[in-house]
Amino acid sequence: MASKINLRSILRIEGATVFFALALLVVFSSIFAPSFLTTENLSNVLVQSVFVVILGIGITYVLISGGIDLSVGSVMGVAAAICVFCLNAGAPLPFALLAGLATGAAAGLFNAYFIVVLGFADFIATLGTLSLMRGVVELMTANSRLNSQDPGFMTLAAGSVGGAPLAVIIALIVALVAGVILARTTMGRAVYGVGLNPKSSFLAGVLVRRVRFSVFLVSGICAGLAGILLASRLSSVHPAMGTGYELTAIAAAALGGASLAGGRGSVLGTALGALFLAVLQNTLSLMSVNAFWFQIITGVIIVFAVLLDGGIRRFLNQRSMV
Amino acid sequence: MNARSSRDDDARPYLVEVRNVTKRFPGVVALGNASLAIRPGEVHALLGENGAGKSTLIKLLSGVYKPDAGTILVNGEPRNISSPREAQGLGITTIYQEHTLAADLSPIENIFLGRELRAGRSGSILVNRSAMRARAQELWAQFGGDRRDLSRPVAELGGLKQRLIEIIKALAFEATLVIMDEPTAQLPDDERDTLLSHIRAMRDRGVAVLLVTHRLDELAGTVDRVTVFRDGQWIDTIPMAETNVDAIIRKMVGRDVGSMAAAAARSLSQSLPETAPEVLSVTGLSRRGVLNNVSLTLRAGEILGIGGLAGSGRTELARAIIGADPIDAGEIWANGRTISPASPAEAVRAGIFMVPEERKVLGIVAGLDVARNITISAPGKIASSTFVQRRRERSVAANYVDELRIKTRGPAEHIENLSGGNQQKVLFARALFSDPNIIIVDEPTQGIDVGAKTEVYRLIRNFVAKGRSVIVISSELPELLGLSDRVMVMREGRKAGELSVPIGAAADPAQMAEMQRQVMALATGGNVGK
Repeated sequence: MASKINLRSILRIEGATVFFALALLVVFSSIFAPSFLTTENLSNVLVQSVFVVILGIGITYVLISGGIDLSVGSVMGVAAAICVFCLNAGAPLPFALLAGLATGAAAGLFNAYFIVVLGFADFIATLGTLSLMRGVVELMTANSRLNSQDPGFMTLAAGSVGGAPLAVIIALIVALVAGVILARTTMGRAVYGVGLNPKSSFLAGVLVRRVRFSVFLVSGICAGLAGILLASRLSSVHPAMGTGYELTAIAAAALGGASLAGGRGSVLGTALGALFLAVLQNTLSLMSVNAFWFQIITGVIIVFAVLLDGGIRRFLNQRSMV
Repeated sequence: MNARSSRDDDARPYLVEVRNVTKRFPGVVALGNASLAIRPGEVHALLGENGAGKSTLIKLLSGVYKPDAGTILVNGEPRNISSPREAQGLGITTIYQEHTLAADLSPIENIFLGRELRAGRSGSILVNRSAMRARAQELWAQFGGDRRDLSRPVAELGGLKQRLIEIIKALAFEATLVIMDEPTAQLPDDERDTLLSHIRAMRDRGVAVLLVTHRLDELAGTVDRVTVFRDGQWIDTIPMAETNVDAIIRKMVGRDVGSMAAAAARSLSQSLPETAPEVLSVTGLSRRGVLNNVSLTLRAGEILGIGGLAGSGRTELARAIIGADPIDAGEIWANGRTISPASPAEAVRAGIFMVPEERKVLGIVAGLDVARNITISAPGKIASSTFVQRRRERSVAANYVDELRIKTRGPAEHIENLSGGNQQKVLFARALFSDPNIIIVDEPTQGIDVGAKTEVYRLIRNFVAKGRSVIVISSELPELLGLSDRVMVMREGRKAGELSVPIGAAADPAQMAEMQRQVMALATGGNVGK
């Protein structure tokens, strides 16, 4: 009995399921992909994961509030393009970075305006933004790639502080701030209330519209930051940059326990989910598995993870009813 | 108990007969040994207060529920009605209060939805559009309808035409009994009269109608017989020609009213002092189609009851006061200043909090624990500058759990695991936590057991004992009259009247019964005098 109670309380911790899955995967990778456990490879995996981590954190806010944001992949691309464009036009680096972030924020506000003020369905509004922003990226990169060899800019993704990659440190800071806001501030807690029951939250005095507005803003800013980092890593912006990232980010959030019905999810869970996907991809490529298999295996794992998560929650509820 | 009243001398066999039917739900007996008999081609009214068992009976007849005991006979033969489709096969069609038409489809498509006439041999997969159109036109003509209406989306037709389309939908499949649940709700008076005349015409063509209505003023002239239910029991079946609205109301409310009212009653020995200051004053509140020029006042230490039928504007009035819905006109003055809350959050700041009806839908936030369900109304109070202090939250919640005697394993338990009564207490704690001086409670004891009801009454009384004020909205008359100092009755978005409840009235069953009759009369548009 005592061991069962322990298992339950461990499983109750946010992100516990995905943490165990990640641990299992790391053990598997260490055994079957011999070069996995090298400092260089691990550092590489971490840097690979930061884009989806940051993007996923923004998406997690939206998902918990009961919404969806499909536009983030395109917003990544536009923010990156604006940032590099500013650099190439001779703007100082801080200005270019702010311009990139502001682009993300503007896209978030654009979504929020249509969804919260005009009452559009979030799926449709953000699908529109996805297409619109993709068009802008393509226009901006139509004639030539936007390249930047600015050393300061490249440091974002390539630099390191005390041996730790700078990009990973940035992602950690974002996760920490976003996680604390979500779990420990009144605004963050309101996001859960809105996702679980917007009507009763509204009657209890929660400013539901303001909350819904904020989550899309957060999502846009996260997408902007992820775009800047990706451009720094690639030192260029290409027309398709960020395509499909929105789905990977949603997958990471789902693996981390976020519910598309709203009300459930955590920053830690999403970050671990993103890390899981990055490790999986890395392992498969180290094992020289065809890249197409990555898609198939990812799909299977997402479905399995959701099933498992549902099973665990039923188990927890069942026990708590006794 | 037999539905054949002694005054019933018609020898024709019954079209549909319900004999001694019982239906239980967890914790409640919705229908106990209930009976009802409907003759072919009559308009039969099924009457009773909320909770009398009318909806349950309808759902038994239409195959949504199965009885736990008793029999249902159709044309004299016992039948097991196990699905709405089977009920339709037996000629029983039900038109529910909520519109069930698909708004974007045309009347023709709606009428034959899922039962499309086939082209050629039966089993054909092709639908016979012209046959459906012809049948719909033939029926629509009986109702004097314009055939062009049949091709437009239903959403473009008005309330009356939509009702008629639902009736045609029933008749298209040879219904011999059409059950209508509050068909005239939300219809303006002239359209209501038209609908009633169509119902009479239908009867004259031999179709029986079982009419459930709260608007008793529409019984005379349309209804042949009425059956009254109370607390899940059959009370009486009377030809309309031999009775009147007042007598019917007496049958509807004439239970042992003393006990509930006494439980709800405050042990006031003296009335509210004349000097008690006003804390809330609402003047000329209007919202198009919902509220029409409603005014009210509330004094410190007072409980104001708001009575009226479902849909009479009670809840809408409360929602307008707390800024949950916009208003077109009117002024709200609270605690010394004029306010115009644009959201419940602003009403909270002005000292007004509403505990809403429909606890599970509008009240609790399932998925959050008890503590967070309480503190959601004023999260700033458990936060220091930026961060929420969980320890403070837990101790605040633990205090409420003790004080309000909330049965839970602790503040960290998810609210959906609590019983209805305890959920309601958590919602009270939520209200108290925002530190209001006015609480509006909408159906505060909906769906909770008697013990929990008494507890809720105690919370309300304790709150006003501190000189604060409460507005109680309730469909349960004993509760409403027992709790309130004054009762305001709403009808069709207007204030229909006001009664003050004398001290000690709750202890006097005769006086309670008379006051209930008066409230029902105001609510239904009947006559207040004897």
